Amino acid sequence: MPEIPPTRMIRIEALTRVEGEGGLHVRLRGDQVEEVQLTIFEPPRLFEALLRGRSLEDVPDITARICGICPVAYQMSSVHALEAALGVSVSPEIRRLRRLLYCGEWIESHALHMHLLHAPDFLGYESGLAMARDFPDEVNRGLRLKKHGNQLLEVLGGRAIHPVNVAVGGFYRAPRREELAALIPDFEWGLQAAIDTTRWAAGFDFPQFERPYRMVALVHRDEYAMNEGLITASDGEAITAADYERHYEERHVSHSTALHSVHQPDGGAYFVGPLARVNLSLERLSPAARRLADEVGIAWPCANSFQGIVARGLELVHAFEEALDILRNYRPAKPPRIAYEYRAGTGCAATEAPRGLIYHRYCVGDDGRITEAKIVPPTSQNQGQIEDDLRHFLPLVLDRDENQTALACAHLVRNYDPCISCSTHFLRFTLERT
Amino acid sequence: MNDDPVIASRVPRRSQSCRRTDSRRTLIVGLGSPHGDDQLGWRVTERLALELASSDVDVRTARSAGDLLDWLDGLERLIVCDACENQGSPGTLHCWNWPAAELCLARASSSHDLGLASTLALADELGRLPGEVTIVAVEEKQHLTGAEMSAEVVVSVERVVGLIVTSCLYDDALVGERG
Repeated sequence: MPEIPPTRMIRIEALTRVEGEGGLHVRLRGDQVEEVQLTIFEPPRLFEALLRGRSLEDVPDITARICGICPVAYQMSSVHALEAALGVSVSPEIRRLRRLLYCGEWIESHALHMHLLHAPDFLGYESGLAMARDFPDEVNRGLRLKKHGNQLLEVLGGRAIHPVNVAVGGFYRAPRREELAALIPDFEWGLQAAIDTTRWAAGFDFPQFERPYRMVALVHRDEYAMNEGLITASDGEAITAADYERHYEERHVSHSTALHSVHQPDGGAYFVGPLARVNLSLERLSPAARRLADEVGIAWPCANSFQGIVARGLELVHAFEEALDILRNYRPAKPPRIAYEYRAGTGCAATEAPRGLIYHRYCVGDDGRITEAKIVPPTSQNQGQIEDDLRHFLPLVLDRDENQTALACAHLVRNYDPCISCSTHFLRFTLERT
Repeated sequence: MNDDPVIASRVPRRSQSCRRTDSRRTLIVGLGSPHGDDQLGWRVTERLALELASSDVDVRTARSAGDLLDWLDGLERLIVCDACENQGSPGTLHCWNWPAAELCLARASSSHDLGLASTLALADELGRLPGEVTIVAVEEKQHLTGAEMSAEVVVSVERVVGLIVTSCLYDDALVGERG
């Protein structure tokens, strides 16, 4: 009778350096991976139900509360979806201000993730704090970059966390020219610092781990997509936001309070985030970011999720360069907010959060109240892909001791900069061997 | 008569002529949220903004301890006011000088692990902390979503304000309970 290999179980009870609370459970029989579960045990936050019956004007401020790191993504997605429902078109000036606001969020989120959350994985430190002892200049650079992103959010959004200036139709108040002009010197420093950051990250030692990902991101004909564009996949499928729910479906899974999104009809996982965006819109990066992409030694499109940190760096450069252009040429939008009238309807929108594609749909009554809401954050969309990655990555690291295996898996999860709070929903890791 | 053991031992019995405003560049930060006793830091800084309006002391509120990292440049003194837990009965007032081991016990974690202790440790590691850092903390009873502050913590707001105002106006160090 053949001997049955022993079961081994690896648990990460609490994954650190991610936003929110979750865990990772892996069960092995011998060297065969039997089960991988990204378990999210943060309670459901039920924002979609909470929005029903509320005035549509409340939606940007309520949805911003879903996340303290990427509130702008929720605000931008909600106002675009609601404007689609109301038939509102905003002016080019408002459109540029919205891109500027998104630049601020990309800067603060990417700078934090690259320097304090992800770089320690590549440099062999358990935390940003431990890394700061040996890399004080780099950590200080990251903190200063993040600070300038926050300053932009404060000027444009009223405050850095959960901005309050975003409205359906535009902004409650357009900043004065001098308020934005005052940011220019720091953003000139930031552009060079972002280039230095990206070169630094490109020099890290990356595991050889390539997968045939189905990358998905917004693609816009004329610009690096943030707020508008077709939801485009690396296999060529390109759809409008209105068609999103016909092609992508959220499913309940028993081990997680977060929904898992899959592509239909194949039920396959897909990849959203900076790496997908750079792969699909490389030629639309800002000039400095585009030149840097050629310099960093990566053949684009890139299929190694560990090199996502370089894509994140390219977007940091892009965000500073585009923000500088807008800051230098800014003329206050008049009016800052386009007037509208209530009408019954449904509107959808997809925008690009720092962590990837985010989709919102709202049904509005003729009294301006929300009758139905659907919100699909990036981490829900990446969860299936993270589990799929782990199934293929684990055999490469199982010869290590259990702590090292767990660390390698946590590193892979952080490639996605998951925001568990956003997906409703700390990461525990368990590895079970039988 | 102030019967608070901390304040009673700190408030100097001096005439107004002895008063000399702290000339050091000082920042006071109230950390908190709108939930239950976690509002303490915000309520204290609201009061301090009025009490110290004519001084050069900067007073700010924050929801995330990580915000502190943006505000440290050029500071000579930092006072952080926050609610804490697992350090005594509700309403107990603590005054800790950094580095404070109690602080790590008081708050386990926060978004992206940048809680107050982690933030101050990171700033310390980077050599960015001012020479004097004091944490004034009050033991909370609850921080339920949307709840009012508990009576035990409400009464502590004025005690904390008095302690900090006295310290700033008379340039006294906020000495921790253990000295």
